[in-house]
Amino acid sequence: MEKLYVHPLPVRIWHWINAAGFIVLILTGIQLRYADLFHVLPFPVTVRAHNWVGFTLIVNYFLWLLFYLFTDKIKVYHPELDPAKHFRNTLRQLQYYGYGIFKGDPNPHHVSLYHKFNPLQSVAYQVIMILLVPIQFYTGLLLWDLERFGGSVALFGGVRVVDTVHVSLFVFFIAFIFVHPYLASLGHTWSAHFKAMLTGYEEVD
Amino acid sequence: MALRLLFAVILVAAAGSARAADPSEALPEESKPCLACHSAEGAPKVDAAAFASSVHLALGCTGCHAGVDLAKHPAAKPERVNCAGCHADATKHYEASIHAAQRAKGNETAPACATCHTPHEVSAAAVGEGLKDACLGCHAAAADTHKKWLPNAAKHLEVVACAACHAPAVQRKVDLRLYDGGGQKRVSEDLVPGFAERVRALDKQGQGLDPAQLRNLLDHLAQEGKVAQPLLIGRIEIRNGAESHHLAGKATALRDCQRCHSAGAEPFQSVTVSVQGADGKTLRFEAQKEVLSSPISVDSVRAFYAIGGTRISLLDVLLALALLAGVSAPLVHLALRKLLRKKQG
Repeated sequence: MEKLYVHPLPVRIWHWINAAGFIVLILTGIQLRYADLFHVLPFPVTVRAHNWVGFTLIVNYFLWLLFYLFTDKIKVYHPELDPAKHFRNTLRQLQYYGYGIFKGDPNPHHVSLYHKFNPLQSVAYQVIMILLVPIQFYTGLLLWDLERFGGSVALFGGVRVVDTVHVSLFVFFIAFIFVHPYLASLGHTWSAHFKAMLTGYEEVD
Repeated sequence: MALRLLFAVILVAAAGSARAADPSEALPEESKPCLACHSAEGAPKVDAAAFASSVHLALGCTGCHAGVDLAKHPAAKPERVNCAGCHADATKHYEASIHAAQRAKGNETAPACATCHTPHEVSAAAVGEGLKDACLGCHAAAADTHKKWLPNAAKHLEVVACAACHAPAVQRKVDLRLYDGGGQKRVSEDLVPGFAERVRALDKQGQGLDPAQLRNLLDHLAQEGKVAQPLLIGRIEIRNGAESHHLAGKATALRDCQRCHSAGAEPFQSVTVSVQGADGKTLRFEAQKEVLSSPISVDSVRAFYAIGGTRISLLDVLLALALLAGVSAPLVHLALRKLLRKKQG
């Protein structure tokens, strides 16, 4: 098997900080919203932890953004501009996860230096990283200091709207945090993609 | 006493309509000789214009300062004002407060009624930020000391009445105050004539406005156009205003965030919607507690939200579904993979 260096160091650092941060944010977020159901941490401590981890991830996001903006690795996020081809590839990938994988078919996506994402991943990660994650950070920032950002909160539609958007995305990220590692376990061995995200090297045929 | 009280109430009610454009015009005749001295140096000064626009205007001077014998005054001081004569309930709670206890110990700087409710300028208690400013007037460090432990301290001081935490024994509620122009100015009854009738027409059962009725009310106001961008800004207050005098010592003030930030918290069990009455008092209308947690209210109560306490139940359902899907989808997929591969040998 050939080894391909597909996850450069800054991306790996960003990924694992982000992963750990997401888990802390989800747990503290659940504690803040459901303090009546269980009480592991005192409320003000939870708020502070949620805020500080949130800020850490905002800074961390810029590590990801700047790395991709200033290196040719941004090509991994380039969309397939031919819609027919994109649709065909997406369908093939869906077919694999929904049917072929059960028969032991090979994964139709082949990782290469500038194509580490399959068609489903490339669309999902563009939406997540360029839209959902920034909205989550922005709404979180507004909720952090409602007085300081009073004008922006009002423009957004009020504190209840800001919170509803923040919690709706939180709902999505909760599902993501379970599905993402499962999909990551579908490499040629269950641990192949996990190792790759630690070492940077994917093993390819 | 009852007659005097009735008289006072009638006078206060009449004052609302009697108030003229020039406030000093509205002064009762009997007050004018008093104010001739009491607006000059040498006698305790009363701001005639402020008094003319206070809720006590109709009582005149002698309504409170009884027993002044002009032949002997100013050498003979008038009797001590008996606020309890009219405000018995508030006084009862004040007597049980840390402020009264401090005065009883001889601390002259501890507030009596007039210290917070500036005697000749007193306006309806629930209006504006005047009373909070009165608290901060003595407790100047409070804004900073809250910042040390309370997240979003400035916002809390804005939307939670001081007494809501500092009178821990009493019951709280949410008052959704109607503002216009994106929260710049409270809406007065004059601006929305027929507001009370509109609320009653919507709330036919008299059970308080439900989320759909509240949305309907705001839509109607927006369509009417007299209130630009009608907005309800929530504030946590004491259910019975008189009880807000029942202030306890700092050590017993509420510091448990869950008293508000958890589902079913006591302050969110009682909700009112209010406009400012023509006489300066607040006109409150009951609303159902569901207006704080219904998906229908995301827009109508957009400017009030307490994490955990007023959460939207629909989002809880979505969250449970996401959790279920997140856990079960990989498990089902994994099980199918194992099962089908085994079959294929």
